[in-house]
Amino acid sequence: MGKKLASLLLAIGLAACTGADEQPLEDESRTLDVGAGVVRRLTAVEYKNTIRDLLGMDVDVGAFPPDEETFGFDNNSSAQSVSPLLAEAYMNSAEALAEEADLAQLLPCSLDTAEPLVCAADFIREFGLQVYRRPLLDAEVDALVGVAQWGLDNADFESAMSLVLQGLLQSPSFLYRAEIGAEVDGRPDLFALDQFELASRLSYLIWGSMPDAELLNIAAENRLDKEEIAVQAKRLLADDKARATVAHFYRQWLQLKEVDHLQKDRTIFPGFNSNVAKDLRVETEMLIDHVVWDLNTDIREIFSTSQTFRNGLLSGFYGESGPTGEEFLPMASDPSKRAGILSHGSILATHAKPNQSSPIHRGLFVREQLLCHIMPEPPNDFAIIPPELDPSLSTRERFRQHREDDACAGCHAIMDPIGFGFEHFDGVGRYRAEENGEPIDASGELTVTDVDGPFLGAPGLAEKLAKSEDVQNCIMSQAFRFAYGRGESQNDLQTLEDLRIAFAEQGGGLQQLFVELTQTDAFLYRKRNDASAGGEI
Amino acid sequence: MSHSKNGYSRRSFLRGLGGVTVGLPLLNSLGACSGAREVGKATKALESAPPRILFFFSPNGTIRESWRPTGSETNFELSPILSPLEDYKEKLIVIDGLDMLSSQSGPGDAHQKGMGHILTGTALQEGDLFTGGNGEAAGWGGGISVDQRIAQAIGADHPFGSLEFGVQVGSPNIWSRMSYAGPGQPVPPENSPYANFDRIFADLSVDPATLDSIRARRGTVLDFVNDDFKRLQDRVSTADKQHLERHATSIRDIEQRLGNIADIGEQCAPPELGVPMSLELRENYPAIGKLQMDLAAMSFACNLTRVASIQFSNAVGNHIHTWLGQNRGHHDYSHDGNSITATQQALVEINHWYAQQFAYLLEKLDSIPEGDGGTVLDNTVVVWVNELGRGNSHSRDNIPVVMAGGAGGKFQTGRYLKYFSESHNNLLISLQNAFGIEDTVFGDPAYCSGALAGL
Repeated sequence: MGKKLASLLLAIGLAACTGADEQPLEDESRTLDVGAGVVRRLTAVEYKNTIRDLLGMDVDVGAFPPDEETFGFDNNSSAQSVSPLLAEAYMNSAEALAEEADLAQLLPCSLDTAEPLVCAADFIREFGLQVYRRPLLDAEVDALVGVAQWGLDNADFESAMSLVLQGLLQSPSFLYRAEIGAEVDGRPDLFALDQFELASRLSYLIWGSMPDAELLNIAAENRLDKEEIAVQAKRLLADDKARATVAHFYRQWLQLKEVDHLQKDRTIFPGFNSNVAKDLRVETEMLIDHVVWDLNTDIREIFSTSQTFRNGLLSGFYGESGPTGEEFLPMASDPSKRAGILSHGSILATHAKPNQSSPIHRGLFVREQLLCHIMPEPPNDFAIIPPELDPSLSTRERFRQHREDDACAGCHAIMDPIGFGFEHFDGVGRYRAEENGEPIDASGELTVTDVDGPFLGAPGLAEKLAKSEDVQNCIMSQAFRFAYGRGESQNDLQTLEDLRIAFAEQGGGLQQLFVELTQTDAFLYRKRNDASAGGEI
Repeated sequence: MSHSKNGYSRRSFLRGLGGVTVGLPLLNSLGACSGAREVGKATKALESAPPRILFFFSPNGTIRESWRPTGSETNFELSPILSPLEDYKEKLIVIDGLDMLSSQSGPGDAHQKGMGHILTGTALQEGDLFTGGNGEAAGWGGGISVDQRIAQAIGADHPFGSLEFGVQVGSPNIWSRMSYAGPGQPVPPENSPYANFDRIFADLSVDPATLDSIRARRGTVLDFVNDDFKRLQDRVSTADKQHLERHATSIRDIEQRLGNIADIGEQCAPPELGVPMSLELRENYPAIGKLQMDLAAMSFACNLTRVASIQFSNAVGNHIHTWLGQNRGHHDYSHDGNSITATQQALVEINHWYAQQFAYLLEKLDSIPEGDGGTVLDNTVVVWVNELGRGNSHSRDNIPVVMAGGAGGKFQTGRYLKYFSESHNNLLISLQNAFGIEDTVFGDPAYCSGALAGL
């Protein structure tokens, strides 16, 4: 069935694109191609969400070994190999869930049914559709009925069904999003995903969880063409579950979770503690949420806006006038001093030393996370000998030595001049007019970007970044990695080009970007992957 | 059950945390507690003490001038850093002059390479999965690590092929992974001594009849899961099939363990973990380390595994050693120039502290008698490694290596060995040879010239 259905889908997809928008599929200049990836496993976050939606239960995934981070994201399929520790965690979790699940409510029959195996088979087909996120094959149903039979022979019906539930929850078809699809005519290297595979891609992209009943129904009715996918993407985005996913994306992109574990020198920064750290993260998240969900405007607004959200604790910490009391309230910061999230303590404290600021780390953050630059690699036998540091000099003067040493200058020349622009902020993000009695020099310079040139302070930098196409493209690349669970490759150039145009034309908002991510070739197809890819055996 | 003297039960604590608690064998709910086997009073001693291997990791290099012993191979004085090991001098082999030559090639920044090479002797995978401190890009470790290679060879008869203990190892990425089951397959350490306790020792506290029942149920479910893997693997592409295989292998390992009833040692007595503490708080770093070392030592004494590792922090680890009166992070210190004497002293103190932890581990292992007048330490080889030689230059030359115990006479101890620019792959060869793996190469053959001469 899968093959026929997917070919039909391809036809619908083609038809839907004819004459539509700016990029019809049959345009000869278009190249249908996608990068290769491997089967994606549910991350700990997705597992938790899925169990919530499937069973209405709350799992503590803190006991799972953490998902390995690649590109800063927890969902890169190449890094999702399963250790014995994780396999055991899945087993323990399945056993605990089966033990606590309300079987009487889940089963289509009463626990004292006269025909337990009939009921078991019904349950396996109906509930299994939600667990596997597709109809089960007959062989799969038979195998699970076999488990139920063993339970009946050795215990009772309730135990038997508990074992079936354990089996379902440890099945690779639950824990992984296996995709098979159907070969594209004339392109033996490409497969169009089938309806249920698309439904799962869509719901995990926007909800980080399983498809709901409506989405599964639409898939069952073969109605999930490209246009319907966009309609459904917008429906899913309107649900609160989408907010959690978008937040999960930007927390990883902007490395926001780091602030929770920061250790600062208490003699130098006595005002910094774990409560402040947590509230600093909240400040940044509230601002980004405001831009994404309230304003629904260009995401680069998070850099340039003078709007922020603080409470009394943060007003006191920053030493600036602002809200009092526990509640976070909107406020405008002094636009000559601060602009957007790059002036937030969350990011400034994270990219600093325990006892001082760090132009290198702040510059590197802008280069890597906001501009997606990868720094050049020094030769293999290159020994990095840091210069002796003189504590009597200002930060800028001390770091100047990096740039005078030829061996270091190459890399530092593209990090430090950005980082110097943040010098008005100390190691935890509080504003300072002077350092060691000398006025701060916060002049900086951007190079190797589309907004090159000198700037003054964090607001000057923010103004440039908010206008930068390089930044917009970088955000798109970060979202690509998060959405598709892999890095971009040469084969994704068409998808990237389509995304770039659509993202800009749709106003540069994150909501729009998430919809556009469902409209690409990378979303609708998969590459034949018979080679041993990176991360494989 | 492991009730402490005040009647506190770890498991009841964990079950009280709310939500569905995972990571626990579901023994309580199956009525497992009656007639629990008395652990520690096993009737049967080990037939013979098997040789074992335990790796110990600390980060950011050392200060060689304060680390190197003085004297000859058999008549030497320990250095300021290694002085806490004085009581175990006769059971040590201090090795100076090994270079991580394999890490001169391949992708990655210095710390990434050091971490990914130290136990693999293999270049990292190409790729841009991680951006290093200096922007260099690298994938995951490029080959199997020696601990996992040895576990494959000798681990099958034990409930756990290997156990990995972590002490606040940080974010899950290339800087915090030294064990690999194969290229791109990092083996994560478990950071929680509580989770480790439940995982490792739970079965020992259950009466045999209940255990049989649990095993039968698990066996039925896992048989299905195993078959379901096969059904799915038959339908997906080759790369996916391979990707799923590691998971399927883990399922089969669990099944195998169900049938592997440990022949527990007569000294087997799972440790008391005391009052639960936060695993996140940096101040608890030393205390968590001690618990993990207790657990590792006892997993050997109970004959539950023969291969383990204890990893303190991670490459680039930046813990502030407040308990030493310090206020800067370890990695931050490690970048300072050689002429800043206060920093050099701080780094000596940090490495001296790690030597104290290493001494604690040796004391634990040496306090458990085993075999004919020996101890668990005598039947184990403990290998202390680091991802760098020196922190400020990020050099992987002259990496500090201390071995302890002789793995049941496989290594002659009480020695200080001096090499000149010898490839560390050769040490890895010697280690695998000691456990019956006769190969004359390990990792990248270009950096192998055979077992480490004179070891």
